[in-house]
Amino acid sequence: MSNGPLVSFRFPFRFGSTHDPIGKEGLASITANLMAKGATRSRSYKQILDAFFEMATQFEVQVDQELTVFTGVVHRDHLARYQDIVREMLDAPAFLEEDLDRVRAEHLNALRVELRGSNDEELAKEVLYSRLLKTHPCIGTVRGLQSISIADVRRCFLAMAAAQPPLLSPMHAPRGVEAILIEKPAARGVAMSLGHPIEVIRGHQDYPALLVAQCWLGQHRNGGRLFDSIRETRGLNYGDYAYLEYFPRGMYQFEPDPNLARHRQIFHVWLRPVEPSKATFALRLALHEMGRLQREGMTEEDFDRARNFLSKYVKLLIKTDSIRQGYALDSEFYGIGEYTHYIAEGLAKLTVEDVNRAARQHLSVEDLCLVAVGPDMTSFARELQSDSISPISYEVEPTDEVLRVDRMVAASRLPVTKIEVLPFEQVFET
Amino acid sequence: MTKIFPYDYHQVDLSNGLRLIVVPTGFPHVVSLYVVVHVGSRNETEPGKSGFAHLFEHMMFRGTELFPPDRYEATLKQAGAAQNAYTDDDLTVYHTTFTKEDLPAILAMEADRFANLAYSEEAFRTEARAVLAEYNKDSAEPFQLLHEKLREACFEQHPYQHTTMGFLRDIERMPELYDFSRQFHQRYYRPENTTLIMVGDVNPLEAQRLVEETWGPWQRGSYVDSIPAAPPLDGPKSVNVDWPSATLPLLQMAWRAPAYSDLSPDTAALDILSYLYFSPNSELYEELVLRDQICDVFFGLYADHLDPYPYVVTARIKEPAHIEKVKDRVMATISRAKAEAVDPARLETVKSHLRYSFAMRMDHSEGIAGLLARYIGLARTPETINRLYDQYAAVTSDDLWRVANQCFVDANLVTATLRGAL
Repeated sequence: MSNGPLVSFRFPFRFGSTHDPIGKEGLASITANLMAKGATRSRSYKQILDAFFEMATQFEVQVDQELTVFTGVVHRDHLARYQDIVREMLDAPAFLEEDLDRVRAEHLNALRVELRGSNDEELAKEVLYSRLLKTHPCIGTVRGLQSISIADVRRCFLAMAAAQPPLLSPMHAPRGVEAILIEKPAARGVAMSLGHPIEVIRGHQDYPALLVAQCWLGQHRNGGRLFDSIRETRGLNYGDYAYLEYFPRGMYQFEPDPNLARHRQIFHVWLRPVEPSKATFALRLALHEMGRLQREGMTEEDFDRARNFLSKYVKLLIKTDSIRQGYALDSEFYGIGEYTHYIAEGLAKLTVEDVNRAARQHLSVEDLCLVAVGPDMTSFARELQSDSISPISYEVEPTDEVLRVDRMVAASRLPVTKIEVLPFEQVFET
Repeated sequence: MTKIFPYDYHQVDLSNGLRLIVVPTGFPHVVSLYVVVHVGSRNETEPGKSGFAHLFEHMMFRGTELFPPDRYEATLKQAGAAQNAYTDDDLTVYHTTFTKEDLPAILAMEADRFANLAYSEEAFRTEARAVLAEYNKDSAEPFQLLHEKLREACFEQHPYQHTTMGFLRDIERMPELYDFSRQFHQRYYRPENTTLIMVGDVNPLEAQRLVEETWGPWQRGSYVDSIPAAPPLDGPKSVNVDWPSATLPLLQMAWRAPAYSDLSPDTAALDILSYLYFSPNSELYEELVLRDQICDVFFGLYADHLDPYPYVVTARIKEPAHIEKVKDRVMATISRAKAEAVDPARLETVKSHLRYSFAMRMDHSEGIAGLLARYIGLARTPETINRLYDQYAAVTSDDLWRVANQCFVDANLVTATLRGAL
């Protein structure tokens, strides 16, 4: 495949937020963003913006825990000029105080105003990841960002090209359901994320099997068991999905972007905001559906359907040259072959027993971390703690079968072992 | 003049009024099917019925007798297809991307869905609640609230007064409107009101044969809509919005602007004015975002619409104390746009940017189909893109001056400000 007159670039660095020094959380992100959005030795940032405007192009960066990648696509008419500018951005950034002020303010606003202030779903997800991985979000913390100086940035820049692989600490293994409830008085719903660490990453023998299990539970806009049960049948929220790999910005897209490759992943279930009075029931229902996968397993028919879907769907992922480059870099990171072939081969060998065994072995509904963002978390905490029945009512009487399942779900056990309630303004402060 | 849209396209109207547009792109294996229904929140003229086009988009996934939701889902899964839909002011779009061998099966299933949708009142009520959950999900975003209030102030009698989600009071009442939902389908989901776009690895004549076979039997409708023309705005107006928790102040300054047109220079001139004065390439952006750093979000947007719609300048301001300064600077820039003759070299730079921006988006079939759908919603033919870009090429400094002086007047202005709790 070729994109005709367009030329794509990706510049990867095995460097990321795991390299941030203690007290300087956010340094990798600030440094990389200053390279992509700041002046260079011979050009002001304004000059760079103007040149990119003429070429209708950009130079972007994505900073994750273990990987930072700069990306650009340019029309071949501008290739030489673009390469000249981009080379200087990578090799000779100026790191000016005024650019640091602007980029730092962007980070602080992204953290305080956007993540904490107006994106409850993403906040729940980031808190879940940070708790299980025992680390800060890639964007940093408020105090870390505030403490970063130009000297820190220069040191980070020098370390970037020659970075050693980070020392990754073991992940937190929850015992029972450990709940972190984030109080947000003005929210109209309760957004929830739940999950636990998994050892299965691309390259692991059970990765294709868990991909099928994930497909059965459901991915954004592709239906699935969670979506059918929680949204379609009961109208409790807008959608419910499961993921094996980190998926930031999930509400705006259907697949994680390339180059979020990590050696530490979690199994993650994402419940879109639920009316507060129905939050406990929705949580129980999600756990019930996840539990079904373990207790009953997928049927042969469901397995065939999911496997067949994935075999074709993966081919649609590689839409452009730039995305192809991204997947190739990830394959190199994980030590696997070309992604679509890797998946096709893995799927071809699978049986339904493999999937059900892998789900039982790697997924848990007993030991996990729950993060909820919403109003009146004290009441929610009481409901979770008491483990009392959470009855549900509907405006339209559902079928007898739904009511039967509901009665069972409403009374199902919530093995909550820890509850922590904190105001949203305190999240990621330090 | 070379046409900006780089592909040949095949456009044909079936005898029932359905329009088919096929664009072979040369990108292998994949086909994107976009079904554009020419109905959106603009058609929600009856009191209490706002948000209905969007609710109806949800209902379209509730199945038919032949393809109940389970079977529909199974067929999509069988094809490994990626599917979604969206609703906007002027259109509703259903899109599916898949590998080419599944084209006949997907086309047949979609034809059945559009002609024979059938759902129970229970399913309708459940889905109406999912729409409320969608509203609740979006309500965490201050821009969303500001946008709602801005529209209310910009329009008194035109349905652009509400967002595509609809007024909250109407969303809460939706479960009671099952009968109206059937009527809505009868009115708008008709072949003469629908355009099929197929982009990718597809043969036009083969595609037409398949569409005639599967979509041909769909019965033409007879409903004639009547959208009221919005009376003049009678500005300047202002609206203040309080946000219940701490957040950065948001400012939107909106001028009622003309409807989309590829036949006059006005649409093209407004877009170019936007790049000249309010884009990251503008002096004002340099001042507010890069030099003084009092805003961290700043842009102007002329969103193409079928009826007159506001041209909006949006700013997120770092301190409440700077709100007035940003307003003043925007107004000073508007005054300048109304007075000066634009430097020809700078005008040429913007035109070049527009041409290359378009070329940069021709990189995969799904993206091309998505872009086309937007224009099909406005003018029902890809040719409108070529005509619009010809207008861009022809815009003169005089056109810019004339359009700025017609549009950016106080009578057309609404200023909306959102402030967080201290």
